[in-house]
Amino acid sequence: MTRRTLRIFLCCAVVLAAALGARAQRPRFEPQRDYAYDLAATDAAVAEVVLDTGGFAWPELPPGDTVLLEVTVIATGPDAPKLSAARGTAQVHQVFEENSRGRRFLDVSPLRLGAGGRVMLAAEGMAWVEGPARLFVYRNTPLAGRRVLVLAPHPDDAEIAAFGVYRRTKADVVTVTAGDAGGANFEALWSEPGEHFRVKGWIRTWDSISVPFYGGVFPGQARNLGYYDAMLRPMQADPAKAFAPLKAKLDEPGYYRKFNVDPALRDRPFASTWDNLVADLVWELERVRPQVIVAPHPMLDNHADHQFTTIALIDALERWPGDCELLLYTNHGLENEAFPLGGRDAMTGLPAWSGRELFFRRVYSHALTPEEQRLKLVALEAMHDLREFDLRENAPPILTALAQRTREQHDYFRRGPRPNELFFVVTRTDAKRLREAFLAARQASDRQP
Amino acid sequence: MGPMSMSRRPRGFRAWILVFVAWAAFAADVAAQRPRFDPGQDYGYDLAATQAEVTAVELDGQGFAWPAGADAADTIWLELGLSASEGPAPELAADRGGAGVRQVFEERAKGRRFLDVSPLRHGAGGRVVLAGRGVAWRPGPARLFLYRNRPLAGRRVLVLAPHPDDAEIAAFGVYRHAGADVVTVTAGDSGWENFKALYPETGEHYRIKGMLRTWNSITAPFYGGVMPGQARNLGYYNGRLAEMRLEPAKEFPPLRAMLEHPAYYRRMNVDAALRDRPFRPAWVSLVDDLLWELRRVRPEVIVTPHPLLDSHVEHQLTTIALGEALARWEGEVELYLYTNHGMTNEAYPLGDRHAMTGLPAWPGGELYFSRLCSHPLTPEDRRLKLVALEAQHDLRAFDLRDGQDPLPEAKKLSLQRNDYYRRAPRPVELFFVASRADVARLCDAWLRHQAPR
Repeated sequence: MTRRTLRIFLCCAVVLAAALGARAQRPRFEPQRDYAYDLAATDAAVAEVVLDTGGFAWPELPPGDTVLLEVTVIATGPDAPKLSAARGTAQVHQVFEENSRGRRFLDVSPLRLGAGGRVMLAAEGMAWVEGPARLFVYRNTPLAGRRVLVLAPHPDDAEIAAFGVYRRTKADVVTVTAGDAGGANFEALWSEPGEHFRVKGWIRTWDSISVPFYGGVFPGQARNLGYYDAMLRPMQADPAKAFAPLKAKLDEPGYYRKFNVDPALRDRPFASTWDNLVADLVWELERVRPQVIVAPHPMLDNHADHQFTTIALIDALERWPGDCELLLYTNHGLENEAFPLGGRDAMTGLPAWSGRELFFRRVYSHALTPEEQRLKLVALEAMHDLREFDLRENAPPILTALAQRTREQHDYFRRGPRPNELFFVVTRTDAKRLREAFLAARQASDRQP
Repeated sequence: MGPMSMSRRPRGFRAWILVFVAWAAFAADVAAQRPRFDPGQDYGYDLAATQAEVTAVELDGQGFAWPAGADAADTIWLELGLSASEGPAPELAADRGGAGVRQVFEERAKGRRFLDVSPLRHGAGGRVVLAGRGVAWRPGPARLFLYRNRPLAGRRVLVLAPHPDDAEIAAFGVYRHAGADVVTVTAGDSGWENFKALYPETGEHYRIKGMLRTWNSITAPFYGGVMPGQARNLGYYNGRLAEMRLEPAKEFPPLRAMLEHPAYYRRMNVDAALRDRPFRPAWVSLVDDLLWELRRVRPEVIVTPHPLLDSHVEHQLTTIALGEALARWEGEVELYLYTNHGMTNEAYPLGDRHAMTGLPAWPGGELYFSRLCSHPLTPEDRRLKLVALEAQHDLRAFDLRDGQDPLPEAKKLSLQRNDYYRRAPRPVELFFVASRADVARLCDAWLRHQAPR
């Protein structure tokens, strides 16, 4: 076995172990179940429609930006079921779980811009249940002109979740960690792990500062707080304790923060504690005075750093009185990492969910133009953790069937640049309840053997 | 592929024909524009006429005696006669007590060559051991050329790049080591269609390509410690400098990119002064901009292409424009001239990335330099240089992983010989050091070489 084959084999083994580990920790959505969302309990206007064999009549709708069709999907073949809807020249399609059988939500927001009174539905590998159905219509405050703060747990999360949003709003983009853990992308150049992960964090810190340019956000307005990847959860459990990086060997704790273009953040003292993180977020809130904060949904997003980024934010909100709402995203669908399903031209849809209360008032489906989708793909490809670091030294990397399949399922080039970005809109008050519920559930699961 | 296989596998053969035709067209295009070095020729450098200390050595079958005192020089070249015997990459290695170098020469090389032995000054002992692979050296008297350059650290350095990526290829180690202002002249909005899968419309494709590469030129120097702002892009258009020089007052539109505004690329600068500086795509304006940069940076060293050794006309013209700006600026300055597209051999530097850069093949004629400088890169410099090169959109495959091959066949063929991942992150970066007076003469010589129109 050559060194290269060995390395590829080891990478695959790591991917497999990570996948199995992740599976062990998280509930997996059972495709024969209903999606558990109770949208009637949210701030939606509800319109009744009747689905027939060809589609449904588009009713007179109240003003709104986001429209979801509640529909029961029955898969009829082995392939992932796909449902398309067209109204005049406007059309959408969305892909559901293999073997789906149950209540789902089709994002038909773009059909608002179509013409005519009839929506044509077309299914591949599935059928829909005919009869009465409901449209949920949300009217969100337009983002344009509002001060927006996008929070990313790691370099690339802002792009995956909210490239379209920050391009439209010229938001401040603040990344919490350096991304100094995960896979050994640069092992060919740095074989010593401590050094490798130091460099990896440094490269990704720069990604988080320089890549938002493709969405019109300059370095300085894109910043990185320089905390360490994979440490937020232990930090929260022991808020005054300073934690060391998981893998990177650094000369000094504030190493990553010093690479900011923004001088105020660069010169701000760093300590790798939860208390300091919350204080930094209060400081950012005071600076940016956001009316909208984009952050992960702690219950829908499976990654602990994602969850605790938002928990830290809600802690910080306790000390900042500004009027704002939260737009919460899902980059690692808790019950299905492959979310959003289907190709990159399919709608994002709602993440699979069989659990309880999610504390949101509205759903917001933010539309991207084709140009925004292209630039989003450019921004994703610019992220070192999302592309192959190929030095063209040997033959192209050979992926095993398993690695290939993992990539196909989880590739952010597929999952990221969609026609829409999906957010759960949460008020300040509900955010506090969300935090309590999340931490209570965490404590309960920690008590399990 | 012979006629036998042609009859057996006609379809494959047709594909090969297409590939060959594409390659032949590409090669003919390149060959038509530039002289080709005959490997049976001597390298035409007359280093004895430069500011070198010349030391005679005696080559025997194993090597030579390292002269006492050579360690004080920073750049040391061994002139010797070589004769390649076999193989595609004749290689000569030299070792002196713990310090070693390797350098690769042309296939079938036969004649006078120069081995860069600068790193041997860190070795120990009085003896240099030579070893050839596929090449023999001529025993007998030979010469060492010793150069002492002023250290770069602590001097104000301006690196000029014709296109995004040229600063990294030529001088990443220099700007990481000494700090520098890195100024790129054009947006790089031309060349191959890297992003065709996303932008099929030509004008739009090249607008985006220029945007991406402009941002590369501003952000990639970070890997060498140069922040955006100190890395800037003047925002001229790729492929227009030659016409601009011939009609200095006339404004030229981009060659291929469709822009909403002429200053589209310039406005991407993080540096507010340049971003707000009015833009006109005319030669006189370029010279004014360079003068403005000289006054801002007050460089003691300017790194820029060598107009006679670098075959790319925009590389040549970057230095010609600089020459015009220098004529209007008083500062005391040295020029460090580089070769990113070897005039007589695009594959330069030869061999793998661990081999020394060496001198570019040159059949003869005045090159107007006073000294050579082999700027050493540490292993960490070289790793980071590779990271900076891979960060350039024009040097990597834009692979969206949707089943389409991101590289056209012609690009693949060109990468086999001319990949900058192989050519650039070497143990040294090589510069021809020229005085202001040298550069004035060099620019005059370049102008004389231009065919009258």
